[in-house]
Amino acid sequence: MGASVFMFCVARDESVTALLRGVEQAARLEVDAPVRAVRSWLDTFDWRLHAAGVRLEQVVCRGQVRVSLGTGADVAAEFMLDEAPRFAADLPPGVLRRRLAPLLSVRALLPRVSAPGTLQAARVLDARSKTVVRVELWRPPRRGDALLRVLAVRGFEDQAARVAAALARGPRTRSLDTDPLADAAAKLEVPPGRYPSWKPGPLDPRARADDTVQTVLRHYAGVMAINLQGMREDIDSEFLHDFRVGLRRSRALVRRVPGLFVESRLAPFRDDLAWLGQITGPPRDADVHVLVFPEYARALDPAQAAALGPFTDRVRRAQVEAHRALLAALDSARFRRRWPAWQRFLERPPPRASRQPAGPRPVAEVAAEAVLKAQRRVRRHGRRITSESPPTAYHDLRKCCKNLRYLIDAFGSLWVSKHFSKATRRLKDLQDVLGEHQDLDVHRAAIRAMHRELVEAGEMPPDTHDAMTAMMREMETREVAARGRFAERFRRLLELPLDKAVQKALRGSAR
Amino acid sequence: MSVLASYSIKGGVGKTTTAVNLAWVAASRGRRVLLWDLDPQGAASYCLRVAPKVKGGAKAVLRRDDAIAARIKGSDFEGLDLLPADFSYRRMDTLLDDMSAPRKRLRRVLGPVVDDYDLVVLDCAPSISLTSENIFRAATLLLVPLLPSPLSLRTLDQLRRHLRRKGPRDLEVACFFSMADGRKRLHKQTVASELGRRPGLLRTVIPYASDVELMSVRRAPLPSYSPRNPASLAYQRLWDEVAPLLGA
Repeated sequence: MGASVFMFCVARDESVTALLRGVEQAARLEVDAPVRAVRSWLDTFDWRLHAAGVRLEQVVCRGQVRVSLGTGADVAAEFMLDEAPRFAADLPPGVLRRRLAPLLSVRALLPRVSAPGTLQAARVLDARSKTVVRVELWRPPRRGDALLRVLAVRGFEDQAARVAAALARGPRTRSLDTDPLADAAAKLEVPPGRYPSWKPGPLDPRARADDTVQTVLRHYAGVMAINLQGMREDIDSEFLHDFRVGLRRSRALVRRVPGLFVESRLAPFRDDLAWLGQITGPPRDADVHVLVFPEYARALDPAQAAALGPFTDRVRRAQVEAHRALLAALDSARFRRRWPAWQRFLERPPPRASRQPAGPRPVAEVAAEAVLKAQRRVRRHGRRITSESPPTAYHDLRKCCKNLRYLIDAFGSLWVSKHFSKATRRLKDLQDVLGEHQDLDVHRAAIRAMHRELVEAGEMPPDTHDAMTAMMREMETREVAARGRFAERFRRLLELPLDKAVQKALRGSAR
Repeated sequence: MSVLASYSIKGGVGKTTTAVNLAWVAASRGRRVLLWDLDPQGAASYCLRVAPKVKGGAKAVLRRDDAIAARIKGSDFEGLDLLPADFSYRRMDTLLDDMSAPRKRLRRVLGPVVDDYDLVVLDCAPSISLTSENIFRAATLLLVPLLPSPLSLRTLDQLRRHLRRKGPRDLEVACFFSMADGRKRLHKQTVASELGRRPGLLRTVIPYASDVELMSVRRAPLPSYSPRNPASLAYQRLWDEVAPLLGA
């Protein structure tokens, strides 16, 4: 159901009437007065819509918000909204929400690039005074050329194509293949399609281990850095999430690939990274509570779910408080001093004449040892677990699995093999079960704690108590079910040891 | 996608006005709306300044499953598209009668645009026929405008009896008073005696307004050019009542 958009560059003092005079025979032109307006491309910070081939344009003019959903140079549908949408839940129910919500997930829609200016709208009318072509002249605020856009109306595409062709032939217009907003987007710190992946680029197996690990750590620090501002502003929960993922990956490398850097230099940074984990943990937990507790409440009947009001308020208050504490920590002298120091440490190449045992060795060897050691830890912890084991045993195993996974992600390009990919998938399957089990356990504990606080504060109506109890009971049932799936997933992981693939890579690096 | 049919056995009760204005209100509230002008007179198409003509006529629309997408026209209002009327729609009953599964044809031809729209509004011609049977099966909600008069209520009762016997079980029916003239005692009495008592009767009453008649002169939905008019505000309230029934 696409309608096309044609774009032209014109001198800013051109008038719509003059440009369109005579381009469409026997047509009438209706021209509005120029008004102030802002045209923006909406997308998430990590360009999820762009990655899915979707373009969402927003025009805000005289308090009205027009959102156009499209692909490439086509507009599929336009929507009039009361307010600029921020999250999927702000979109009107229907086509727009249905198409965008799965792409956005919890991320906020942001005006990634905007072009303020004056908009002069015009319409080419047919003999019935029906609009058959829409025209927009966008003039930038002070200087620079204007943008002329010809927008087809559905069912009248031929007329728009004729107008565009006539304009293209004229001496006062220059056809544009790309939207000027695309040029602006390409200059952003994170341009479309360039949100960094957690997997660093291909690694040379024969390169020095200290150089390679430092490169990977620098990559992680870069991703963390671009998320800092969004984390501060609490734009959406993914900024903090991604910052913490980078942090955990960095800590895994620092701890699980030893002997690379001078210990006296590294030790303070190890403490700093642990401290960052401590200050970002509670706000992340609070974000997760806001996101997932409504999901748990869905298992309740609607009347019980409605009784959770005081609990939901408590969860939201906790999130605000946790974020405030995070801001204070990010403004602290320690963060202001030590975060740039970590970045500087990663920029400076390790000394060539390193006395560290692992530093000068080929990374393939060092990484292989680290991965196999991490794999042994996973097997050892996993084998100890029985159906009677406490949740902490599952939690410890989960941490081991995460470390193994982070090492695989960091060095995975050294071991490209089907066997390796299959083993990684099985590790992921096990992590899913462990993650679900642990989430349910810690969330139940969090709900219990909030229950206690509400009772102590005298803010616990009986129906809220009943609803919270029912929710915890439901979560316990799910936790038991997740525990039941553990043995099978762990057995499947044991069937595929990584040794073979790693040995193969070692042979490759020795050549 | 929900389907709202503005329907009545009786003519001149405000079906087209309801269809056009509710379609506009829904679009102005961020919904993607397709208005299908099923009335061969083409009044809804006229109001939206589109020629009441469809390539290939009723035959093309009904025979090919993918026909309607290429025949839809954008209106002058964001979010509102139109599938225009065609004079050949007067033969729709005969055409449907020759087809297999003739009562489910409209529902089937709407299939290809299910993902493109949140709401399809059917502006129906006044009749009870094979086309109506199709409308009953395609619609999520049958919205019946009523003049505040005993004759109009009697027609509604006839329709309800018919639907009880032959209509699809899951079809929801709602009605509302339209063109209520506060100067007429009969209108006032009927509204007062029926509101809150008759099942399926919505609380919104659309007042008679000369501005509504001007829609055919302005050739635009009433709330688009006269947003503060009491009838415009009433259509906004009507949408508020109708939207939950449609799940829209």
